[in-house]
Amino acid sequence: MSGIEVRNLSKSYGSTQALNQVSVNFEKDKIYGLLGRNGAGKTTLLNIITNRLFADSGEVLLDGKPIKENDCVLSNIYMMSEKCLFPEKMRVRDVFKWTAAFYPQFDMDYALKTAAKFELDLKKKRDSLSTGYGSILKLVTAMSVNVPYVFFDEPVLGLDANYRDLFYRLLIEKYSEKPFTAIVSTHLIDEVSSVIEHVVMIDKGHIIKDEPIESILSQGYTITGPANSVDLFVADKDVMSYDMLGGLKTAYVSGKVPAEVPSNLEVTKMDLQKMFIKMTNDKEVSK
Amino acid sequence: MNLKSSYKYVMYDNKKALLGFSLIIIAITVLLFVASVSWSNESSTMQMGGMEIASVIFIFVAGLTSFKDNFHMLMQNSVTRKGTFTATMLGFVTTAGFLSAISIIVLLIAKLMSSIQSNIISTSFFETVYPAHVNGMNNVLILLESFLLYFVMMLAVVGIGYLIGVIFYRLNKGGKVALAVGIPVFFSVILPVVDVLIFDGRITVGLIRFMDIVFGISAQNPYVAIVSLILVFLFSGLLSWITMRKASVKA
Repeated sequence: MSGIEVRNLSKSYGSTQALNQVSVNFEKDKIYGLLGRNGAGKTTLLNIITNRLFADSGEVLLDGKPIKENDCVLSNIYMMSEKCLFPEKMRVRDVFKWTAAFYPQFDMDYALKTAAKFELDLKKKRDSLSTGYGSILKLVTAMSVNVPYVFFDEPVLGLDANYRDLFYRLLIEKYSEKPFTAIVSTHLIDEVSSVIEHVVMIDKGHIIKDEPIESILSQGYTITGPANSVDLFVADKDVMSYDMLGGLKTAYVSGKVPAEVPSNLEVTKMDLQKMFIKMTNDKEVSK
Repeated sequence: MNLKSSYKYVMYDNKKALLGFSLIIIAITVLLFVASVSWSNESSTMQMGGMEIASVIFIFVAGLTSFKDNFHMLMQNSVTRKGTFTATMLGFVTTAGFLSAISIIVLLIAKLMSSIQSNIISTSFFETVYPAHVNGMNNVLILLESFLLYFVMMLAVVGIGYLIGVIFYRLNKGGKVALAVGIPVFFSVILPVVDVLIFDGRITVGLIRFMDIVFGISAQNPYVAIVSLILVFLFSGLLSWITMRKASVKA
């Protein structure tokens, strides 16, 4: 098959099983959200896919060819990792220059323009950048490499709301101009839900969801209205959680929308973050 | 394989330090000459030599510190461990060649000074270790053999430095401390004490004899040393590869 195929990956660190028989596919030209709680195995999975770490068992293929220690296949992949691997004393401009040496498709004009949008100083050394600007350097580089598969591990770490918004807009713009596969691993589920097409949820080293976002969101709905009416309506339903604002109550409900809904209640789409919490933390739903 | 870019990057990383070091060594040699011409008198003599040893120390440190940064940068750019290792080794060969050439240039400058100023005596490391071998030998051949010996000596030293760097990277904190403390303590305390108390100095004698044989000193044959040093480089390279082929990027 085409795309990235992850087959039965297992990886443990001492007695901790980080990944357990994980199998998942990343198809061409799609934006994926890789979601999971802290320590769920997201970064381990990405590190194995990008050859930075070796699995105990299983394999990763790209267009049917093994990725492990394969220079030719790896040239189609770029990973923006949470840890910055550029040399501490390297200047921003030199990071772009050297990335272009390894990735001939690197778009220097785009990198310079994008860096300007983020007000990233090209003369600064990597170790003098703040956490936010460190993330900006990594994401501008990742957005400019122009390879078919780009992995973003916590891309907006330390970025303010304006820059996070700018990143999401640029990602969509870039994807619209020339589609590629972007795999975004993040904790900011609400923000990324408007960008991603497909969700891969990982929990305790297992893939628990691998579906288009629409399909996941159709597995639940939110119902809003006067508190008494909402309580009455959801009495026999599987409620994930509630929000209260003044006299208005919102309930997040699992399942299909019933055919008849009282006229004083409003039905809206499910919230991905609520679904995520429900799936990864069932026991802690508060009423 | 992205070998060309990887090699260029490895050399870029070395370039500034290499040029700085070379300029300093040449400047020191010239300054020593100027000082000896300005302040010396007929009765005093000045011995010059051993600059090659500075290059050997320099390249050892370069080998020791080169693994982590290169590995991270090349991994960031999807270069395999195989590619990283190959580029690094090619970089070491280039660096060793460059530094050996610098050592020869420094040697030539010192010889030139020696011929201008009679109270300056210039003796290279090669001439000091193999005096009988160089006796009556053509100067060009001495330079060529010196170059060859320095080149393989630097390869061996950088190979050992790199191996230590790779082992350090792969060890956990406890292992790093154990290695950093253990090696100096073993060689400077345990080995001499055990040698004196139990073996009556036979270990030291054996080590000296071993070094004499592998460097062809008594035999006055530098080619024995050249072969031995090539073997050290190949062996340390092999061990480095075995150690790094499963290395992962540390979080």
